[in-house]
Amino acid sequence: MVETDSVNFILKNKQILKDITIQAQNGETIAIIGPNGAGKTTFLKMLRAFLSLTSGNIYIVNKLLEEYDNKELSKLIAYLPQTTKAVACSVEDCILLGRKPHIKYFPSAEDYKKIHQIMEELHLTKFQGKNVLNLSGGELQKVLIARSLVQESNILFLDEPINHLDIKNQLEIMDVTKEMTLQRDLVTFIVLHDLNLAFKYADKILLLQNGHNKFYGNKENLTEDILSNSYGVKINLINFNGVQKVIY
Amino acid sequence: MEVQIKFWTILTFLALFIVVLTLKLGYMEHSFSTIFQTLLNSDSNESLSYLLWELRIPRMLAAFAVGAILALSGAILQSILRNPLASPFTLGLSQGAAFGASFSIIVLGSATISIGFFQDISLVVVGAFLGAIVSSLLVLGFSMIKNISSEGLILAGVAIAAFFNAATMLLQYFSTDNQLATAVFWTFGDLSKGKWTEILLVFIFWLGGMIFVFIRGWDFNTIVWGETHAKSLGVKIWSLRIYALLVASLLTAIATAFFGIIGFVGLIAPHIIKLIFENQKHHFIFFASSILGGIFLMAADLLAKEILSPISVPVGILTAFTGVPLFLFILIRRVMRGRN
Repeated sequence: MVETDSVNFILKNKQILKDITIQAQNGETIAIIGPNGAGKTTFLKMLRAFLSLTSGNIYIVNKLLEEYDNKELSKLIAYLPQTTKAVACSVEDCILLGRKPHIKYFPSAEDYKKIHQIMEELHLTKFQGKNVLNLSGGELQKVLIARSLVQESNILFLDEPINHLDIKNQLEIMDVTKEMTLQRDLVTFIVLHDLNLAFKYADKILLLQNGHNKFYGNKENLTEDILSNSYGVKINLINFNGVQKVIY
Repeated sequence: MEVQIKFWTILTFLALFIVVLTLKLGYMEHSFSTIFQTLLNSDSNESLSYLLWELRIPRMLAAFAVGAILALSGAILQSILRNPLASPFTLGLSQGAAFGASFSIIVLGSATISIGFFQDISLVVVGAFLGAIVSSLLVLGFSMIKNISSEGLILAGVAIAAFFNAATMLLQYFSTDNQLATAVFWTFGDLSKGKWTEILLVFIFWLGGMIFVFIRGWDFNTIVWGETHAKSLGVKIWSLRIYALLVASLLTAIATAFFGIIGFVGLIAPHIIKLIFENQKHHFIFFASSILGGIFLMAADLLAKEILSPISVPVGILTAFTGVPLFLFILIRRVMRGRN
């Protein structure tokens, strides 16, 4: 469970985040949307304690964020940053890094068992010995998602995980993420630019604009007016087979 | 796996070949059978036994130990700073040692002191060691600046190197001809400087360094992905960076203090390993770079002894001459593969 209570973040006299209060339960996928510079990544970094909040409180699994040390948080939260400059290593070793919070000196047989299991689930076994530098963008992103999942955390933070991917890969990654969130009862926060994907996969949506919380709640309650005002363009929503579709 | 078997087989044969040639070649040459007889029974030929056990073998082992320790230091620095240019040279550690040695030679004179078990240690060695440590402490100080990037740290190293170079030149300007000659000669890097105790000490430091990198190997595997990735995977970035810089500094300091400045080994060995083995864990990169560095310096020292025989060229000069084209070749290969 993740909860924030009036979170504010001020950097160099500039209010980056203002009064963000949200609550997310296990099994929920929360899409964080908003225009560029709205504070989406900053909010995720704050939830992961990479940035210190100016005021307010963040609770992770019913405990204040500042009461955890980084090692404990790495077991609770898997965080996939927006940009990743891949480093030469095999797919297997790359995914094995996800076990790092659980490895003291060397990985155990159990660690290897878990990474082979996730590779099978995500159909990555055929790439096992391949250098990650030789993977396509979609394959690499899937490997990084596998790495986040093998961390066995309760919470998943994905910062724009489908940027620069083609539609097939976008859907594949979103499907896997949604499936794992439900299967493992995770709380998943995912920063997205594609509003259609947000409506398709998320249970709740957090809409930020200039650091302000413009909307937080079930996606069904997000209206055209709120979206249009936040993005500064006319946005229409139509219902297509029970799913909201965004037209602009 | 196949590449690994090939690599270790070639390296083993190369090492054996160098050992045999090192034992045989020199100012006084003997047949193989005489050399092996003397090795097994030192009473059979006392002068040859002295030549082997007190000159050729220690120098060969010194070459291996110094090459291994410098390569390990370079590999650690390259990984922790995520910069292929990081080495004891580019971070100013060698220049710090050169300043310390020059200071001892020119200001303190060539006295000796005794510290604990070590009797009659030359002040030049102490000065060089302290010089390297001081410059590494400066680098460490810079590394503690919040949000300093690895590139920033390399630039700080370049500035520290320039400072120590200027300070050394100032000292040399005020020195006598003899002092100047001694100070300049010290910087050449020469493997005949050390004896068994010094070699043993370098090996002990090397072992310590290897234990460190094996224990923290997974942290290194993680940190090369960037600080955000490493932090989210639970790595204590600051502690790893500080310990790694400290270990790399100590490794360089001990080798440089006893044997002078020997450049390029620390830079090249990890590059060659990463070129041959594209996707290996850091445990392997550190170990293989170290062994390769040792054998590379053994070969370089053999060449240094033989190239202008009977004059023995200081190995530091030779590593620079062979290292530069080799480094440029590696650089071009990396650029051609799209990885720089």
